[in-house]
Order: sequence, then C-alpha cells, then structure tokens
Amino acid sequence: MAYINVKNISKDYSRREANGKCNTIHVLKDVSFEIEKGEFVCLLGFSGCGKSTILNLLAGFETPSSGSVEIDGREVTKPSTRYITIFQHYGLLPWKTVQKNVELGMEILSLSKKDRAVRAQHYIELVGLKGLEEQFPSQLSGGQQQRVAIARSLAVNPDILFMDEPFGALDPVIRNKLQNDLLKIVSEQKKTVVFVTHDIEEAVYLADRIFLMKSDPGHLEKIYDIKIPHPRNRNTDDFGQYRKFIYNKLFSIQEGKPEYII
Amino acid sequence: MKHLLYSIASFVIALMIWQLLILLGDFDSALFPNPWHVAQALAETISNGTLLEGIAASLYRFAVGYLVSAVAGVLLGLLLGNVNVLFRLSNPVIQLIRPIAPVAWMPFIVLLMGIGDTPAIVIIFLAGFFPVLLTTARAVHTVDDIYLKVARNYGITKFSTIFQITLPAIFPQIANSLHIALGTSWIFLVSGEMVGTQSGLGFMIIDARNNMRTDILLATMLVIGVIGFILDLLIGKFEKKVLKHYGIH
Repeated sequence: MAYINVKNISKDYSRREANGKCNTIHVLKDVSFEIEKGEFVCLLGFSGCGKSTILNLLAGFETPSSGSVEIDGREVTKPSTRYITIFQHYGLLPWKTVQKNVELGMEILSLSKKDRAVRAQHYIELVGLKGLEEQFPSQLSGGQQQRVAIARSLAVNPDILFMDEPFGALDPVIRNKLQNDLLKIVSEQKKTVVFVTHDIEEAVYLADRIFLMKSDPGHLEKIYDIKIPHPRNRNTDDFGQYRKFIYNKLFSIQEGKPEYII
Repeated sequence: MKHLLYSIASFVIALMIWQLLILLGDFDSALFPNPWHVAQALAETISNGTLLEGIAASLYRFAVGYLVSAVAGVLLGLLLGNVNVLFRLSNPVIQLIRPIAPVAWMPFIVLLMGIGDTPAIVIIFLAGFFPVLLTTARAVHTVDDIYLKVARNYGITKFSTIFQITLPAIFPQIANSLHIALGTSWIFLVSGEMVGTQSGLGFMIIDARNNMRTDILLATMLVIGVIGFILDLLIGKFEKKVLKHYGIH
C-alpha cells in the first residue's frame, strides 16, 4: 500500500448566512490519491480549490466529513511530529529567539537541555542561519524566518513535510534560493513533501508530480508527472513546455496539438 | 528636547494661571493658597516626615492590591478564556458587578473588615481586577490560529500551550490592560484611603481638610498626581519594551 493513502475524502462546512439559515459549503468533494515515500508532490490550483484543506486533513488539524486519510498504514486523527506543517506566515513565536523557536518542537522528545541546543544549532546551520541564533523573528527577513521554520521542523526529524504556500510571501530572488535549498535538503534527508502553491512555475520546478485542483466544489482534476531531471533549469525548452502545458490545463485552454508532451 | 521645553512651559503657564486667579479673585488666602505657600507646605510635610509616611502607606497598599489584581486577573482570565462554559456562566454576573464603582463597595467592606489596610487594598483590587480579567479572557480568543496549530503539531500539551503559547501571544494585550488598570487603581486608592484608613495620601487629604490646611491639601494632591504620573511612565516603559520584543512598534 502507498505511503500516504487518501480515499474518497470530502469536507463540508456549515456556515450561517445573514438571513439566519445554515448553508453547507462543499469545500472538497470525493478526493482520492496516493503518494509514495520520498515523493515531492505539489497541489496546484487557484484559491478556493481546497488545496489547503487537503493539507489540513493530511496533517490531522481537521478530520474529513467522509472518507479516510492513512499515512504509513495508520489512520490520521490528530497532528503528529512525524509530519510537520510549514505555513506561509512561518508560525514562529515572536517572543522566542531563533534558537528557542527551533528548540520548541523538541520539547516532547526526551532530550537533555544540552542535546536540544546542539541539535537546534545543527539545523540552524543547515538552513544557513548560523550567527542569528539570538535574534528574534521580527529582526529577520521573511526568507530568513521561513528558514527558521524549516529548521524547526527538521529538528524533530519528521518523515513528511506539509508546506502551505511557504514561499508565497517572499520576493522572487529569495523564493528561488529557498526552492533550491529546500530541494537539496529534502533529497538529502529523504523527506516526503506535499507542497501547496498557486504558482505554476514553482510547481513545475519542484514537483515530481503535480496534483491539479479545481473549485466548485474543490476536487482533484488530474495528476501530472514532471519528468525533468534535477537540477532543473527554468530556461530550458522542456521546462517551458511543461509550464505552458500546466498553464493551459489550469486555465482550461483547449490545446490544438494533441501530440503534446506527456 | 522640544518635548521637555513644552513640558516646562506647560507648568509655568499653569502656575501663572493659578497665581492670576488668586490676584484677580477675592479669595481667602487660607482657603486658596498661592503656589509659594503650597511649596512651603510641601517642604513642611517632607521635613516632619508625614509625607513620606503617607506615601509609604499608600504605595504599600497599592503594590499589594495591584499585584493581586494583576495576577488573579491574568490567571482567572486565562481560565475563563480557555473554558468557555465557565466564561458563559460567570460573564453575566461579572457584567453586573463591574459597573459598580469600587468606592461604592467601601462602606460594606469597612463594616465587614474594619478600617485599616484591607479596605483600601480591596478597592485597588476591585479597580484593577475586572479590566485585566476581561481583557485576558477575551484576548485568549484572538490568539493566531497558526500558533495553536504549531503547538498541536509539535505535541505540546493543552496545559503547556496556555502558558507557553497563549499567555505570551496575548501578553501585549495584557500589558495594555495592566497599564490602564494601574491608572484606575491609583485613582481609587486615594478615594479608598479617604474613608477607610487612618494613614496614606488619601487620609492626608481628609486630615488637611479637617484642620483647614488647604496648603497641605493641595500639596498632597500634587504629590498624588506626580506619583501617578511616575507609575504611568514606568509601566509605559515596560509596555514599550514588551511591544518592541514582539515586533509591534
């Protein structure tokens, strides 16, 4: 069986309208997929397609209205340090230093104070923030803050990283740099990654497979393999064709030539 | 620098108006002393020790009442904020008690506990407690969902989350309510001391009135203002430090 196994999940919310009536909103309808260990999957779609909802369900922050989520053969019912979520707005605690933020996740691991500090130090260096240990998040740039969040997640040695538009708030140069560093780190540490984005280029650059999502109600439209070897180059024809192809699919543009790639 | 000049000018103008009122109005100098007489009265109360004694008594009551109200307000606020049933059960009664001026409690408390330190401390407690309690309880619900998700993701227990995540996350709001509570507590301390005690700055005012010493009366009023101002300055510094630490400027 696959490492991550999602079967027929739906998610409904009830919302009270202005006239007092309760309305059911179908955020996600009948989504099924499998992800193998070590894969890098991008959930790509416009806002409202339910891609963040899928991530919340996978991470155990919410439970599906119907269907099931299994990771490594076990049903997901609550969050776990085996799969850590990284958010767009970092989720760093502003009252703690970089060092203490990275140590946060290690509190439930039975480590001595010294071991924690050493381990935090290791991951702070890994993400390239050596020397900034005693800074507070507000003293760092957005890119640096997201690096701290990545270090914090790696420090508890999770099997999976769930990333919810993690680079969405960063400027392009910093974003490209972080994408490269992320790819390097997750391939070295053999992490499985589920990465939510609405940026086509980002998805094509990072993903082994792109899960294309559409809305009303949110559903998984189709899965595409990106068969470009790493390291990828945004300026090659291959890359451009994939980008164009995914773009057309995302915007539902009919393609004239059926003999296209894939 | 400019700020300082304005402050000095402000006091000079106030003193001039005060002196002008005395020159123009036909007041009995025993009832409306001029600034110079008040300054002399101030020197008199300092040299005979009554002022310092009064300040010490007031500050002691203030410290006890304010600290108890702050600690109790924050802890109970965290409890009410996290346990919705408790909040909904207690909120109606709190809303009913809150508008009762702390001074209105005075006769009841004096009859119950007798005069002394206790009534004044209770008044200060009442003045500070409710704002801090309600601000804390409400602020609990404003904690960014992302922090709570992070706490759940990293397996931090619910109890530990309250003190590790919620409390620090809402601390800027708590600091602000502590600032406001400090001002009201100081105001009510004086009114508490005017009825329930035989010492302290509030008592000095009543005592000066009984002895027809308006110069001492005004001097004491000025001291109350100055101490209140200093307390506000100190907690304002503390609040600024907190906000800076949180990256809120």
